[in-house]
Amino acid sequence: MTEFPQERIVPWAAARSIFGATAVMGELDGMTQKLEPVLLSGDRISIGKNGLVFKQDSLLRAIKSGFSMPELFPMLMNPFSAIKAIITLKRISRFYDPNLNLRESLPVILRAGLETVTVYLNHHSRFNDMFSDFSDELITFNLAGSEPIGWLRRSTEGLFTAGSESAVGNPSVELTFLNKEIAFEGLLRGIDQLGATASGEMMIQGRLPLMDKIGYVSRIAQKEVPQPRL
Amino acid sequence: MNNLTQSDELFERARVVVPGGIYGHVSPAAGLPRHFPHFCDRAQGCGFVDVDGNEWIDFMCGFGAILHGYNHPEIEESVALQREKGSVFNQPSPVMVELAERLVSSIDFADWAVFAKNGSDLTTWAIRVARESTGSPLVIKAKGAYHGVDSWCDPGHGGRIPEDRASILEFEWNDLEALSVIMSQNEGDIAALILTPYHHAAFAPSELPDPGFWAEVEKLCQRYGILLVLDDVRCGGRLHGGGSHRYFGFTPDLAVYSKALGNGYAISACVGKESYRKASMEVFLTGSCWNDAVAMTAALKSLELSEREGVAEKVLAKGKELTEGLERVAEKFEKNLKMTGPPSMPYPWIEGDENLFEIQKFCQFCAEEGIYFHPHHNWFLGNAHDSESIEKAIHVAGRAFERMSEEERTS
Repeated sequence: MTEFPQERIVPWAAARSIFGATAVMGELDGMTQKLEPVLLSGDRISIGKNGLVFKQDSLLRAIKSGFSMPELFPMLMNPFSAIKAIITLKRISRFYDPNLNLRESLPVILRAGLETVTVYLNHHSRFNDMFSDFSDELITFNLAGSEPIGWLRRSTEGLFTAGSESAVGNPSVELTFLNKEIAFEGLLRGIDQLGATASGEMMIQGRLPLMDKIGYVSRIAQKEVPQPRL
Repeated sequence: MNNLTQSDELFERARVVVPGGIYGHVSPAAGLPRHFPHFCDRAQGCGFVDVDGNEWIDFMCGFGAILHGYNHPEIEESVALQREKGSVFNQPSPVMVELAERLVSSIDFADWAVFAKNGSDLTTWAIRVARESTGSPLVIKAKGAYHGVDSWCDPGHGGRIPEDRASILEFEWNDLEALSVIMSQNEGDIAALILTPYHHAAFAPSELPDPGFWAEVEKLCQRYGILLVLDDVRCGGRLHGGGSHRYFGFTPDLAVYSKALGNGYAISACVGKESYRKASMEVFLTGSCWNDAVAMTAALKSLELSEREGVAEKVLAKGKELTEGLERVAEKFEKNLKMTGPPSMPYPWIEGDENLFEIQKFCQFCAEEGIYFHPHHNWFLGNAHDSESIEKAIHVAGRAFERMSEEERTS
């Protein structure tokens, strides 16, 4: 996992966050196409199966500012597919609007965030040895009084994956947000992890050192990887 | 459920002016934040009262700092007398000499002593003394062992650079073969092996040394010319009056004490063999308040009490009463509770509870009835614990296990 080019982590994490968001959007509406990214040569990343290819810098700019030009040639080769993907991309940003139905947005932005974090957990050289003491672990993310809204899993081989459907297995950690507003704020702008736990805004049960480490990696990822702007 | 209104209000104020509200090992996040109080008002003997007036029987003893009980009258009397004279001056007070003499006379291998405020001050200093003495850069420690807040050993993640730990090698506690390999592969480059008397990592059951562990460690250190540094910060005073090495039967080259040394007054000490006196003088050591005569007086009185009353033996016996009682009531409700580590510093571990949900629930139920059992850190017995407090704790624990069983049946 250390072979991953470190300079590509941020754009790749951003691309994976797009995939995470669209995966949940698809689960919610049954229509949205999953925009699975592919790492291409020459600092390029394709978003979705056909048509939409960005230079890494352009992709980050697109997320930060809401607009950036994809590469023309692939788009001309698959114009319908590319336009559909662009529309989907534009739709992602509305889930980051606090005025919308947060209960619906939360799984989307949580999954987007978790996909970002998995890239850091799996590929960032700084965190290679951080989880060597852990084996097969499951962390579930919940809203108080409701079903889990997302999960993160570490396999015995050390690979992290994220999901939004119901997780199978006993969790090593359960993280529960007191309400959707706190969850939304925390996912978008970060949370005072010490204060929020003490006040009950966020409750953590289980193997705290695991969550402590994942929380640290998450905060770094959140700082470095842009989120969609409205 | 305890009322924690004042505690919460105070915490909200703290959040504004203190990052995270409360930080470090006493951060609410590290314990049971919605069940333990965030702030304490006062304490006496083996109990404390939180800011909401809830009364607790305490089995953490200020995370080990309180050995003789909170607010011990003899210690407080001595401290009051010294406080009348003053605490920090331009020069050390005579009590520094008395305290060093006391440590040197009561710790069998010690020929000298130095003082600071915190355990970390002197664990870090001790490995520098080892480097000065040997001229070697590397230090070996046990994986997962805590030796303080400095970047070579702290359990946090932030503000660290790879160089911080470039000279630190690790082995699994009790794995003598791995230790031997590390030493032979780095022969001539290792300054120190720093270890706690037994392995007392947080969030995991404590591990005692295997039979023959310490003898082999001593032998290896001698063979490779490595200083054996004992981090007795947490255990000191609770296993043996003459230092925890006596409990396990070995002799370190340097040893560091803090926590219980001053019975709640901030002080740490490092003692060493004559052969390291010169090296110790080459490694700069100072702090504006490190010659605090009040803390030194407390330490002197605390050591006197320990010797006079055989406190280490007493807290071991009290711990035995507690741990055996807890294991007994757990068994009654088919919970396989193992109180690991020495009985004066037991760490609770429920077999099969890998994700810690059960121990957290157990400690939560005990907290609701005023028993302060920590789910993630070893507990501490003190000499102020008596049969009444221990029996009450066992009784409450029994009810907690009963509630857990009921919950399991109904869920």
